Amino acid sequence: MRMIWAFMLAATTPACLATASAHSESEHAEHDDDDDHDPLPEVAAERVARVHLLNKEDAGEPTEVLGIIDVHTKSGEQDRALQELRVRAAALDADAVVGVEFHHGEHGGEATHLSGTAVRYRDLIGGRHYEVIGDLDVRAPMGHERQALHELQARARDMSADLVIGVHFEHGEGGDGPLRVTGKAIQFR
Amino acid sequence: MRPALASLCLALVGCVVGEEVPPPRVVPVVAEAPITSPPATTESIPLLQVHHMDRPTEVIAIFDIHADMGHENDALAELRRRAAAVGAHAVLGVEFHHGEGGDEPTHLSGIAVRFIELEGGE
Repeated sequence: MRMIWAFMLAATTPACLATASAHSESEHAEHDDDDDHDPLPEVAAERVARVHLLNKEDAGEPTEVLGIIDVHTKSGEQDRALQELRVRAAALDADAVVGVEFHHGEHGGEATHLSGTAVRYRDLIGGRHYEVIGDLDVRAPMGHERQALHELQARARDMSADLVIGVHFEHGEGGDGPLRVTGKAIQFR
Repeated sequence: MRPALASLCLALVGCVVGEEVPPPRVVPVVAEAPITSPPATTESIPLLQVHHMDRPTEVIAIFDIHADMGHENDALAELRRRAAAVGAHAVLGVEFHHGEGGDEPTHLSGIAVRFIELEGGE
């Protein structure tokens, strides 16, 4: 069954997550444990160049979250990391990556982390009124971004939510701190 | 035309249980011509430890300057020089890491950003 990830990023608020995804559940299941090791997808250079990399989480309009990207590279390979971030976002058909952060490893030998949330411009609320039915807070080991999103979605479904709004991703501290994804489950009236 | 983003902000911040008013539909997009102020001079480029600014910014480069121990100021100057060279208005998330032992290089890193305008007038 095709699942839907639908996180909405709206101005000055870290987003809403609905329940729809660009990937099949089985596809996620195959790769849940190897976010760091997925081969770099082939995407047309023109499409890659259209991905905006935004420092803030606010893209300026409602957005749908397509995935969380965390690129790990060796120190000194930051240009490659930046390009990989764009390519992976483009492969998700993202318009932008928001909340882009770079974390250097503690020492020269530790990996650097370049992370952000891939989104596309899309209004999933569509003017409907809704009720917030609960807060969601998922933590997962670094490198398990997809699992964290799935868990957020699963918890929202358990609450019979229609959408998760205010989705916010926090990269873990240091090289192995747990990542965190939060949001608010809502039901449309 | 699009409504001000401020109204959208007010509509969404601080959600609690209860009826929520959906945000007004806005369609601002990153401007194609992003610069809202002239490129900074090398000396005026702020190097900030914070990872995010309270204004729209586009990431244009990442820097990781390696320097010999004892040359931290040179690294700082190099970071500013590179930021100016790519037309950055600021460098965010600046981190300094001392090398291990006595002879490993120091690392000074950060994200170079340009200020942009989002249509809708943030």
